[in-house]
Amino acid sequence: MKFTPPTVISRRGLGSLLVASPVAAQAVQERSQKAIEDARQARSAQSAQLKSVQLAREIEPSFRFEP
Amino acid sequence: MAALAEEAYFQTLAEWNAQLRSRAISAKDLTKAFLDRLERIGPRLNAVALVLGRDALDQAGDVDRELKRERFKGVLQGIPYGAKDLLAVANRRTEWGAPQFAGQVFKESATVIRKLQRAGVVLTAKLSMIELAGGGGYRYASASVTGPCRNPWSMNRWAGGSSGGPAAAVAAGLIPFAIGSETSGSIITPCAFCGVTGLRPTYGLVSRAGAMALSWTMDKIGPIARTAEDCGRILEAMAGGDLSDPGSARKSFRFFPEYATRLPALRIGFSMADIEESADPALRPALREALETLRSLGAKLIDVALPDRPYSATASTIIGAEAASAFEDLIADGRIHQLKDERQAVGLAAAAEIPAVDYLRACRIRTLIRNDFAKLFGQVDVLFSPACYFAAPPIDEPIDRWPPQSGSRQTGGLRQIGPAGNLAGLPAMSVPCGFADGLPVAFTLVSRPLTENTIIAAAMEYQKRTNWHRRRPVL
Repeated sequence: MKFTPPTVISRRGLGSLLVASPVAAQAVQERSQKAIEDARQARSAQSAQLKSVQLAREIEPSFRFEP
Repeated sequence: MAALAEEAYFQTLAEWNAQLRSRAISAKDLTKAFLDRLERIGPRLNAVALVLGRDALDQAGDVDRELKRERFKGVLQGIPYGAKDLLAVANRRTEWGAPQFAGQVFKESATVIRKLQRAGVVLTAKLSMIELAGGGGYRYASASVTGPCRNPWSMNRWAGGSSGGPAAAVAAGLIPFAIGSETSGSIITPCAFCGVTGLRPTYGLVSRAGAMALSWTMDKIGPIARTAEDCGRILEAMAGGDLSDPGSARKSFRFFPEYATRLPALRIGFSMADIEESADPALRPALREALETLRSLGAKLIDVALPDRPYSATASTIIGAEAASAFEDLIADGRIHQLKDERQAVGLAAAAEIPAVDYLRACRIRTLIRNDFAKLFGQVDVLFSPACYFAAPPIDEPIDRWPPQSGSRQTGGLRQIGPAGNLAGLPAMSVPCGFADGLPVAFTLVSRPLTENTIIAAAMEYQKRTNWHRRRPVL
């Protein structure tokens, strides 16, 4: 059986990883935040579309098809 | 057992049944042939979540013993099939296409699986799906643990979602039929992209007990097959009341196309603008020809339009709020971000913030939509529209932005029949009607609740006249 040797990370490589990871993490977080903001905006636009419909007070919600 | 001839994999249920009953082939040999094809071609398409080899062969052996004793259970007996990986199969993995549910196992099978088992149908594979049935809205075809499901007609095109695995598997002849599910478009879209026939039943006609809940008030389970007739036969075996499903309509379904209104007496509502303005120009010749064929078969075509309402926003609000509630635990503890598609994860997280008044407003708009359809079905029996307005998109393009620079009309006519029909719980069928640049084109027929026989019978007459549903891809 052949064993794969453990990955070797040089001191320099490890250093750059340690320096880079907070930056990378921040970039991911910012991207996620932007995506969440986009999703919220889309929801807000949908909410406005729903509010544009005139609904008489007596109209009840339909939760599902009932035969 | 030698592999079957290529064309044999594309036979209808009646054709397979005749061979099984005459014992020209055994259920075990038939199952072996499809298992071999699933394992050979399934991985190329990313259509398969789990092959159930030993279970399927055991069940097929039982069927052979029954057939030997002439204990016939109907046309589906002994035929292999696949189920979307959203349906629980006892003691076997059911992962819903999502990494968070890797290795998930249920003790009991879904009602639909048990019903088909009682009919002697052989469950052969769990088929791939978009993670969590795409409830949060996804951007890429790769939103699945099994990878992007490829279209058998062109491997660099998408099979559609969320029932992409079932549609691709049937289109590629990996399985004679499959079970999919639809909340809003998940059966009709992949069937249209893959050129197979699919039926979305009336809400509540098929039990969802044992199926992943995405939207309790909109989820439906339905068959995907080669022909409309096959869909009718499968629906008969699947449908029926179930106390385990609170949404059950407690109705059974008898497949009697001969008693449905025939095409010469059928009033079909359509909008020419759907074809001439909304559909991609490449699809228009096939759609025009389909409409002309229905006219030539005697159908009376009547120009109609849906009232102007925010159908997509209404469906999205209801599905979003219900999905966010169903997956509240994943959203709360952050596991939602393990989903493969970031847009889907943030979509579900944002849906958790939908105010209760918005959800109720959407459900009240649904009342208006149901009333609109009641009026519309006073004028016509069936509605006709393109099943999709463009052909299958490239597999790595953002699908929520496809087609790029689309100038197509988004409202008017029956353009919003997809979300509208789903909100009203109406049955719909996707029927292949041609090709555009080598990719399938399909139309959809929609009718009143619990009138599946009407659309199946109309599609059967159309399929007697045409052979688009008989075409098969080169693999």
